[in-house]
Amino acid sequence: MSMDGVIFITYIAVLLVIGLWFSRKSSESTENYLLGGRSLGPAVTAMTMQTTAMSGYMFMGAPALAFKYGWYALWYAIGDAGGSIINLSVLGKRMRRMSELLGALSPIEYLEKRFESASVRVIGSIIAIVFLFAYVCAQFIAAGKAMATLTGFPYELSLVIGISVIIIYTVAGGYLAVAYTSFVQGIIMVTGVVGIGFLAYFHVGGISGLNTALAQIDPTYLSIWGKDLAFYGQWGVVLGAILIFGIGYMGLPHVVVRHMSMQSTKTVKGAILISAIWNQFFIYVPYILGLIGIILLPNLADPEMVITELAYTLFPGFFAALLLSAVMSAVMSTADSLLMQAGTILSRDVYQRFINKNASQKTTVLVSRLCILGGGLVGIAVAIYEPPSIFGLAVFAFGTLGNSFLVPYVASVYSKKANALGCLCAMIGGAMTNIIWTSMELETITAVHPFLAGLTVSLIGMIIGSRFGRKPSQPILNIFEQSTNKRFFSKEFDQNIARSLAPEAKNISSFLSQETDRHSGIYS
Amino acid sequence: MFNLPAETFWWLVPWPFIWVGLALVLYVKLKREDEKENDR
Amino acid sequence: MSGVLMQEPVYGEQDVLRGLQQYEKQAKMNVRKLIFYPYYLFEYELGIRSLLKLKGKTACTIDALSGYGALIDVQPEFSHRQIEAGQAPAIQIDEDEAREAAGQFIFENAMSKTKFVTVPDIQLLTSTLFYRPFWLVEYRLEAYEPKSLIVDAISGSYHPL
Repeated sequence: MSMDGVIFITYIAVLLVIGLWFSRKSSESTENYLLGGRSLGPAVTAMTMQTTAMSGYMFMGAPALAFKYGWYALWYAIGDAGGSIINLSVLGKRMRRMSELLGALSPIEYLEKRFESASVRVIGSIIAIVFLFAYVCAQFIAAGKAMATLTGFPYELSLVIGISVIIIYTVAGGYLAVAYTSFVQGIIMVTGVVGIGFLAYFHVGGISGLNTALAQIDPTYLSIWGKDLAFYGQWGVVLGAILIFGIGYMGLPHVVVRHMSMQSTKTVKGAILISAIWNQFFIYVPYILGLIGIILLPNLADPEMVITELAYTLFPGFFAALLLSAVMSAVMSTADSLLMQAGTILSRDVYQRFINKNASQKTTVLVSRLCILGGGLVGIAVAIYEPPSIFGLAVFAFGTLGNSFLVPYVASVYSKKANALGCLCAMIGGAMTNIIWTSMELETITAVHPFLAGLTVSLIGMIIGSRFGRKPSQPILNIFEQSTNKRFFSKEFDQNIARSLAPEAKNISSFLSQETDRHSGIYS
Repeated sequence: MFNLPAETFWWLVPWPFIWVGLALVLYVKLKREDEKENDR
Repeated sequence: MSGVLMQEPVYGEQDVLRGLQQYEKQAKMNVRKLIFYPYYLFEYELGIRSLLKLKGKTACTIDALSGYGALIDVQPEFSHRQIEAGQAPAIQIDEDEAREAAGQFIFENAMSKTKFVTVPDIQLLTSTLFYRPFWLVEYRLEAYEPKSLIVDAISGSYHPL
């Protein structure tokens, strides 16, 4: 095995030791419970979030697109960078107030309660699974490629090794390799990317130097329409590219686990701010590195290896291998938590609800494992026989999510008429359109991005569906009215509300109104 | 301008500034709302 | 009402007001009363056989009104206390139902955190019904209808009603 392979194994071993040490420490004391670890500080939380986002896609997908199409790829980054601002400030406020009133804890639960239909949750879960498996597949491909570089074996063999390592790591250290280890990984990856960016930037003579060199190779790299003007005049494609990442995030299946602290703790502030600033910076960097790759690595066979190759070109081999090990283990922990989520959703929301209502825990676990195994095998087969690009998979995954959830979210706060049938039509129509459009490659014929097509169909579905079917009930209409009121609390006060107390607040509120009724009953 | 063609420059480069500007406008707007509410 | 187990408030009236005023200086706030919210606490012995062994206690609470589960960090301390009528909402989920929900909740969390090769071994150790104190706070701004908040008297986190 190559030296790099040894570095990788050492790296994993060190991570496991760190994890083991922390978990031993926590299980030694008798009053500390397992699993219910305390919340971490804002820096650690933000870094952990960043590591998850930074896995396969950022290291391999984004630079590959820039390498292939030139400046056109920046459209995706622009949407990504702006979408979060729009999401948080415009839609976020009303939705948050409404989910407080509904007592909902997660976005999908919110939709279920707002539209008063359990089928919304089930359909939402199924769509989330499509997303999860597509994204897992992208992680597998990234893992195979990273392993191929580290071990020097061919891609197919490396893929199998990579996935075996994911499974072993999952079994041995899944529980241990949380929080603090991803903090360590985050630091290595951030330093690595910043280091590469810094060195490469001066190597090519800044943005101006980069563009001069690009123009010498092919002037169309500098065009907004892609290399060779591939998308010339296709605003439908560009618009889809801008919208996709900004919007797709809203549909992410958040699996929120509530924690209740039994001792007083200080509230965690600032995590959101730190990660927002990081996002603005990190979103653009991988794309720029892809552009730099066009010049520094003219003979690169696989565009997805831009950052890896840049690391080996600019850094001593040891650091490059260390960086790649960090990427690989980030890919591993992302892949296994995606698989776990998909398995849980499938067994709980689909199998237990529809197929076997009285399933025992053991059966449910078995089903969820079989699903994971099946999904994993399909993923391996796809990754070996017809590997799609990581970028293509990410666009497909986020596109499906955005197409199914955006219209229901917007309608849930801005339209009084929106009902369960409309929501279902919008979710199914949007997702199906995206899946069909992508698989039949309708983009080349129509010059419309699959995401834009899905969004249109989803909107039509919502409008038509809401004309038929059950009207929203009176309590929901009341909550709708209440949520449109102007904000009462100051911004700072509002930001620090503990969202996880929503169910308690709702119950106490109805308890108090019962009490008042009872009292007025006595006195009247 | 960074040796980019004018079209590309004007389509792509302003966006980060637009986003930051938008974020600022929203921030100021929300802050004003707060102050108004607080003054009353 | 008879004596029940409850957690002693960590934050008193003054602490709560001071804490809230950190974020909101203009509003007038006054604490109206304590509300005791019922939860079930289930403690489990958790054993996981994977490449690395893990054994220890874990616990969760189940909201006795809506059945939501929450993982907890350390063993809570309880004291006996009398609760007057009108201070605590009525329990809507009986112990059997809660036990089932808790088992499911712990199992799912243990599964998702220990990953998929071994089934965690979970044994119920204790089950307790306890009440957690929340301060009911009234929040007044001139020219507005007064609003109510609840403030968790243990953690200090708050939520409007």
